[in-house]
Amino acid sequence: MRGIGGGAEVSLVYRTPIRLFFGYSHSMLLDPVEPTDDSNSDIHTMSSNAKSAESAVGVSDADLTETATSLIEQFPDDAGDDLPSVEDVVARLEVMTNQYKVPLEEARHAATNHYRDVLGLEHDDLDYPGQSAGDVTLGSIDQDEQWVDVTVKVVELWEPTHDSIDQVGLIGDESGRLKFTKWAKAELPAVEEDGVYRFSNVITSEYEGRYSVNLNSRSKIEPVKDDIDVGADVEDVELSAPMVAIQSGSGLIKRCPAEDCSRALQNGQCAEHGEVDGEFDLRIKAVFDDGQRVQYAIFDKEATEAITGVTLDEAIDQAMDALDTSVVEESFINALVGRYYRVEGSIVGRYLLVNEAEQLE
Amino acid sequence: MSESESTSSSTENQNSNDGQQGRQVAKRAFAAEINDSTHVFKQSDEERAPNFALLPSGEIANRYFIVGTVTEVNDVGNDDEYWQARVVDPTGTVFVYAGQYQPQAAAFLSSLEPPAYIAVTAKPSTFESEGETYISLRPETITHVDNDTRDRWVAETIERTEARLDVYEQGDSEFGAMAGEHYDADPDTYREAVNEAREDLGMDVIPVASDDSTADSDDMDDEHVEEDEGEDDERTAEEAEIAAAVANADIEE
Repeated sequence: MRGIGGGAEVSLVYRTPIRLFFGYSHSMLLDPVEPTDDSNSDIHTMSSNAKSAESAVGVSDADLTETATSLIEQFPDDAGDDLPSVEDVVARLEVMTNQYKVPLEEARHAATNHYRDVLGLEHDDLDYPGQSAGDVTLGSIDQDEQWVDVTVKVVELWEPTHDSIDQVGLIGDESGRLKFTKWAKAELPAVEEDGVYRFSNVITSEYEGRYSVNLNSRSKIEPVKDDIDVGADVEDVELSAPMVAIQSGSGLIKRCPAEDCSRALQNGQCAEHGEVDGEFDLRIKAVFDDGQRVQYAIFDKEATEAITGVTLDEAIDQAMDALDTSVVEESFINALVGRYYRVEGSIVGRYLLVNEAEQLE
Repeated sequence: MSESESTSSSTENQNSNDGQQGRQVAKRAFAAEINDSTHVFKQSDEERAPNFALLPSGEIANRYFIVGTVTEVNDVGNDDEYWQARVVDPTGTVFVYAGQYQPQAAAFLSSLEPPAYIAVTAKPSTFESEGETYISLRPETITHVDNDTRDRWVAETIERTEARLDVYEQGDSEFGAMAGEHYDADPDTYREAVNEAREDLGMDVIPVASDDSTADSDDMDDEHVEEDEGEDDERTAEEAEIAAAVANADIEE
């Protein structure tokens, strides 16, 4: 049978049960003030179900003021002069509650959305302290759009793919690893590889069954002294499929030498630091495809050397001889694309970071 | 040097664009089915919407991954080089064409010495000649592979094709109704093609439901036809026509 085995093993087989490629999360919106949310009930003593004598006389000034104050606190500080005053908000709530008999929580919800529209802010720009799940471990994150606090080590930093992203990479704690994205407009301090930090008020997101955390303008970063022993990958997978393409930016590349940067250079330019004298590195951005699913994969220097048998020094020699670094990428395409592989590694975002790969004979 | 830089970036930009938008999978199909998948359409009106070929087995393909034997390579271009490769699998032959817009593939084919096993990731398109619609494949990547890879691909494509036909016959294919509308295809045609692939690998042949005595005699007729010299001449003439038509066709990029 020439060792074909009926081809049954030729497929993207994921060893661990992870949810893949199913529907996109509908990021909609948790009601900012859920009536059932205990953490808010002590603040908002007035509920729509209240049958106390107090309800007959309406909502007290004290409750209105407290609600108005906490509402304003949800808005980012940099909204500045445009922020409504406590008096404005109280007046708006007063009309809705005592004149139109709207429950206070509903009035607060409506007022929040009103000011959000007026200020041109997105849902994510607001802080919903009542929604925060507090301190969690990365492995326990299983909800989209949840505000959490995590204490993590930065395992890897990657090149941002867009100007709107300040830093992106992999964070880990004892329970696992997840992708994180720090948005440029958040204007947060830079994190470093191997640094340990407490990220507070970060929001989770889900894409194709995989979770990541986002740091936005409501988030905080504080360095932490204790080291963290980052646990095994939560999404360690193995697949068998042919490599159908190698993407540009593979082969012999140069990275920015600036501290904490390591972005891949394009035509000698770093997106952050301009023209720099880069440092050579090897990598492969590969596409695996079993006819049913596409899996992007990244081979780092070690994995690239292992699968190609070409060391970084040899690749540099090849490029020197040809006066052109692209010969390395071309030789990798010719040597690797079209063959079937068994690949093992961790899934991060849409990439599989290759740990081990071997050609199927 | 500058030339090779520009050529490599032009093909790779296509790839990375695909990546940004969520790359389309490369379907596995044998020549027998690819050549019948002549209805090519877009799923949206957007200008850059991808083309899909409708497979008779009720799926659609924006690209294929095929592995086969190149038996012949010809420059069929008029002024510019335009390379045509015949790529053979156990069920038939597909035609891969590469010109100035596929510089790496064109360079690969121009220096290829048949017979050789190759793996091709390619996009399908159609062209018309004498009222007939033909499929041409536009390569994104072509590489040399070995016999083991070729056999593995045949095994995988048997599996995928059988799975597609099963779903189609159960009436569960997303594009099954569309396939029924556009093609007057008998799924058994492709079951028989799969059996040719099974025989190629030394696997057991699965009897086709309607594969009775008539079908058997059809097979025998086919064999006779292949040995018929007059038919060969006709085929050669037809291929020359196809090649000329492709070379002249305004191939969509």
